[in-house]
Amino acid sequence: MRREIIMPALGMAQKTGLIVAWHKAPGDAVKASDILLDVETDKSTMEVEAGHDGYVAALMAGAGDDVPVGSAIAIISSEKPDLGSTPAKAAPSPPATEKLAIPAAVPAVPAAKPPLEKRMLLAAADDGRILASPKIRRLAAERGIDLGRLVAHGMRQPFHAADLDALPPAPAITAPAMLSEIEAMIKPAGLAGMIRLLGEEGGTAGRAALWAAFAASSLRATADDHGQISIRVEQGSTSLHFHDPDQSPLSRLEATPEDGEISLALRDLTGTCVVSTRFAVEPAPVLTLTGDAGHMNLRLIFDASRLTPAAGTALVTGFAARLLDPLRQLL
Amino acid sequence: MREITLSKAVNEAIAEEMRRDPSVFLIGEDVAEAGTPFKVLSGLVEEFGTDRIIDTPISEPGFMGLAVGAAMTGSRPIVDLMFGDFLFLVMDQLCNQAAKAHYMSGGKLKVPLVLRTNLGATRRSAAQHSQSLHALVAHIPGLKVALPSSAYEAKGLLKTAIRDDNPVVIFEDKLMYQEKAPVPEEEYLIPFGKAEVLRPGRDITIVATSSMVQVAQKAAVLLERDGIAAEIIDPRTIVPLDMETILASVRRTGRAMVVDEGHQSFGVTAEIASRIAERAFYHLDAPVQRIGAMDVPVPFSPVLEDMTVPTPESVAERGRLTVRGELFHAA
Repeated sequence: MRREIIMPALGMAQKTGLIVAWHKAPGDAVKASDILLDVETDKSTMEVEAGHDGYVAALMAGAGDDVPVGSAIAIISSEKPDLGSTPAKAAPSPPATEKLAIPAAVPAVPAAKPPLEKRMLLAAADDGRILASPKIRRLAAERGIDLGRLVAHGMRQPFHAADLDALPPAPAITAPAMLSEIEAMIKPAGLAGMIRLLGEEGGTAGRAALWAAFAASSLRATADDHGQISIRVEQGSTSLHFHDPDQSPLSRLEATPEDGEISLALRDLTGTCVVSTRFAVEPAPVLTLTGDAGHMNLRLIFDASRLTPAAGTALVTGFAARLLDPLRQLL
Repeated sequence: MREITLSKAVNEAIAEEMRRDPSVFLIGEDVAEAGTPFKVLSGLVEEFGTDRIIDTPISEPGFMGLAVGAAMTGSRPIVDLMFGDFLFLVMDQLCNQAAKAHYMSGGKLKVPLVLRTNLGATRRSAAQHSQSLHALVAHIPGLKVALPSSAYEAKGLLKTAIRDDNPVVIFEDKLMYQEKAPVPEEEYLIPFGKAEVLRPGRDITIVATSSMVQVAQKAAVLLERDGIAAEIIDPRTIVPLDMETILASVRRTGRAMVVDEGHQSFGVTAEIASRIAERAFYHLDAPVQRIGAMDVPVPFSPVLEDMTVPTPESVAERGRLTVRGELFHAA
């Protein structure tokens, strides 16, 4: 079994802890009560116990690192680790907000305290159950707070009502925006000749420049107040950027370095087996081209808060019209 | 307001009730000429004569049985039991006869009897004269149990007991007989089943009985130095027990501690703590704490005897750990 050790919250308002020194190295055997590392907070330096018996399988942060509370900083495994296959150092993982991290060891506070108290300060249950008073469980339920957040924040168990007040507010969870989608299907008969013509006339951007020019002029036609239009064209692993591609003659159109927000991404998947894409994070409306020179599919996926449905429809129909009659672009 | 000793308060209560009601008489060992070993009854025989202040041979079962019969037939006896430890001698008369006569006679018999006795250790009186046995009689349905914690309460509760138509056992703290407290000259009664909040506090509720009320008050002063505000509740009677006042307090503070001088096991602390856990569970932020006398015969050695009972320091220390959330017993 492997257990993550996380940076514990040693103070109420602590956000990070500075690792002063590790007392154990990967491969070392540790007992739960062994001091694993020294952590410096804004108030003091404290020793942190391992909290579990086993072997140090990995240290994920080094001495001198300032690590966010709740981040995994080490792994303790019950079996002796094969260090050849385990990275000795990896980036600290961000605080887990959803999963229930294994509670961190209880800090051994070096100040002179009665032995009775020390004995009563026990680490949380080893089986992953959260130890919390009935009152904090009731309050958490009333306020819709998952006690796992306290675990992820590295707070010491058992939890009491006051721990809720020490918990930083949860990041506002906004519902993912519903995306709109418009699909069109065409037979672009004159397109092949146009592309051939472009190749003879020169210009290095080729197809990408044509798509950019079609997209920009279609987009500009949807509204009066378009300023600069920046189009990104993705073809396989390459992507090219064009500024106001509809404002220059096609034959002289050149790609420019990416700079600032883009107005539209055009994903050219023609000639590939991919028929559809929808990625979680997109910087702008995405127009996807699939199919081949005979049958082409256009699909626009956009956030209705950035592009109205009417404008989206006009963009798709305008782009389709330019594919059907490429010469129109030249007029 | 004038201040009188607890001894004087008891004496006044008996004298006032005997003047008011000619059916009241007092019976026991060394009660007339001697006025009891604690001199509580001095002067009563001079006023009321040996027909109403009756000295008996050393035979607790005998005069207890006599008093139960007198109570059934229209008198209102006050039985003076020199030490609470002698309760064991009168168990049948008290628990099988007095406690059950009203019930078993279908309500035709009443037993308006008061058994006055005492509790409390640290008087260097050894194991047979130092016990606090109020839990024994509180266990028996049909008996009421009063635990005054001051001269004021001793007088008001005793007068209420004498007027009650049921058998009442009232325990005085034998170490408090010479302690003074403000007691009004005018007549007053203290109702049964009505707890008193002696000190308000927001952090922890301390329910303390009889001799432990003063201990709790001193502990509260110690806790206050640590910024912990303890609320002290004196139930005054444990049968009937005013749980509403206790629960209202615990629901506010979220923490509770019960302090009583009886042996800790199977006693008053266990009963009150479990009622709190049953009815205020979702308001508890820490396990309910119990502090009773050690489960040992009370030692004669002063050094050892002092170790067996709760002290202001031990109560304060437990309160501190409870409020700080550091009192955690792993299973």
